[in-house]
Amino acid sequence: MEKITLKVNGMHCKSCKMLVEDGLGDLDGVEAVMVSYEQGTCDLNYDSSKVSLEKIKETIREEGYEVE
Amino acid sequence: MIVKKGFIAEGTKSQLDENTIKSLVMNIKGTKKCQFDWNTEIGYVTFDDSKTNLDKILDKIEQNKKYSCFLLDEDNDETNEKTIYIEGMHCASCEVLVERKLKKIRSINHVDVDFKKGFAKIKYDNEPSQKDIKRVIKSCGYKLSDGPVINQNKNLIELGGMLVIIIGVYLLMKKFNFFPDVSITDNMGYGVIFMMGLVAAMSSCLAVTGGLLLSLAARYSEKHPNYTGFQKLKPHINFNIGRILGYTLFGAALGLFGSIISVSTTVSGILTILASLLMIALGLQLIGVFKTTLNIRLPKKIAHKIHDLEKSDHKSTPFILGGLTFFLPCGFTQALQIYVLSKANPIVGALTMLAFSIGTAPSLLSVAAISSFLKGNVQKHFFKFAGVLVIVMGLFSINQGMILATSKIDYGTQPSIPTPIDNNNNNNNGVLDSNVKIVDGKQIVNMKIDRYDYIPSEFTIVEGVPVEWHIDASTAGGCAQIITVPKLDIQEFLSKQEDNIITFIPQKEGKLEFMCSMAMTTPGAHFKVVPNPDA
Repeated sequence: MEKITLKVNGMHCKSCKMLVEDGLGDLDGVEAVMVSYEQGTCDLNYDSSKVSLEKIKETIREEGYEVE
Repeated sequence: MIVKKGFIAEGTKSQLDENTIKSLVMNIKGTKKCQFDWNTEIGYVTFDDSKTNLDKILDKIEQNKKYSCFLLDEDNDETNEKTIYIEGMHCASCEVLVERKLKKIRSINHVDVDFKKGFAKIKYDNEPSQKDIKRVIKSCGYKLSDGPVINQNKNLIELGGMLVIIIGVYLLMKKFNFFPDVSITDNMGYGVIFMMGLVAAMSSCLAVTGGLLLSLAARYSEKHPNYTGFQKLKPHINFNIGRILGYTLFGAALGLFGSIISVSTTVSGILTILASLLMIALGLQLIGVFKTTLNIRLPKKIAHKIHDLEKSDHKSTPFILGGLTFFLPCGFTQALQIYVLSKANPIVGALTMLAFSIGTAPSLLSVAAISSFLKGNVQKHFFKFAGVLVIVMGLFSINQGMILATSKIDYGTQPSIPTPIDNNNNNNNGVLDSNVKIVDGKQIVNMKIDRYDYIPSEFTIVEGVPVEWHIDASTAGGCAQIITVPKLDIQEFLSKQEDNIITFIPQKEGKLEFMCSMAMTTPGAHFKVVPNPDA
């Protein structure tokens, strides 16, 4: 399990937060997603043997937000 | 009428069965066409419903004991559609969220959400239970509504009604002189100043500071709908602490340095205009004019910047904002600023402003508390009401700001003003105005301030001759105790006595407007300066 904090741009409300959390929550290997739209951050634990960081970022982008 | 119906015939095992069923059906009088697939066991029959009906057809098939027939479930054939109304969606993300969550209900095939109109169109096989839908909508943080959420016309009527009420209350208050009458005397106890704060926060300070506070409060509440009342109240407490500290600090500075930080009429006017513009913008946002259009069309980059700014809203910003309200053009604050200035003592300055700002806190905090603890529909209406109120206040004060800021600028740009033709002109020893007497080469002007009115409010004086302006301020109300003549840079605090004297020499012909520091007194009050007929 690895723990990271991603900087997510473009979230402005609670719906955005839920979208990102749901999107990442559906990924296999991702656990404990915590998004704060006020801070523009996304804390999560993930299993790098099951899911890549790139896949996680990809998912966030698919939801319509920017991630560095 | 020719109709087409679907049916199921169980027990078919081969092409032979298919042919049997087709011929059975076609032998019935009135049938036009029959399709059947022995594999899927589904068939369609087209017939004239005046000659036969589906029951008869299916009975005929079932006469062959090998088969048993059912009606094809109509619901499988055509999907049903339904519109559900949802309250509380405000952006495209809400739309996506609701769509996804609704799609998770098994019986729903297709979802189409429109956040602007506040509804979702769903298509389903079997009608999903209202309970499920309600649960899903609630889990996203929205509310199911019985009918259309936004009725534009109703909205406008509501806003119009609020406007009428506000203007009505304002006129009534003005008519019955409800505006509080608190006077500033030359030596005030801090208890009196505290009382003044209490009153001020319900009148002129509430107009300026309260309006701003209210709109910020509403924004904050809207942004954090799930915060508890106390969480929402927190920035307001910071705001008031900042305000009290700011007042104390600036009060001390004012006592210490004197006029350096006192605000000139022009600056005060410009501040007023800026504050009013902000109030109007926030007010418009509160009543939802911008809500849908502005947010979407903002380019992404700018939108991010604004959100970043908003993030700072709930940290030190309210605190700093509170401190800066010292410079907002509230009549009472300005009166006290001048009072402190005349005392030239930092301790008196600090204590005066401290007492005053503590006095304003209860009323400002209660406004904040109301807005923080209200919920649901009441809150929505409250914010709409606040929006209209803030806009009205903004419009009022923008006018005052304009008067304060510009009256000095256009000084001298009216080179010739028509010389007033006064009937008494020649009979009255050169005096142009019966309210102006000439004694010892000075023009004596007598004026009374009755609450917020100047009596009289227009004088004609002669250029180049000293003016002794006697002002009876014994019945002057609140901020009318400060009189400013922007063009002459005069800003005087009038004590509550019958004879305050201001002297000046009019240098140029033209108009010299005078008003209270908030420009709330008799509109258009002025001296008309005319050329000296003797010169």
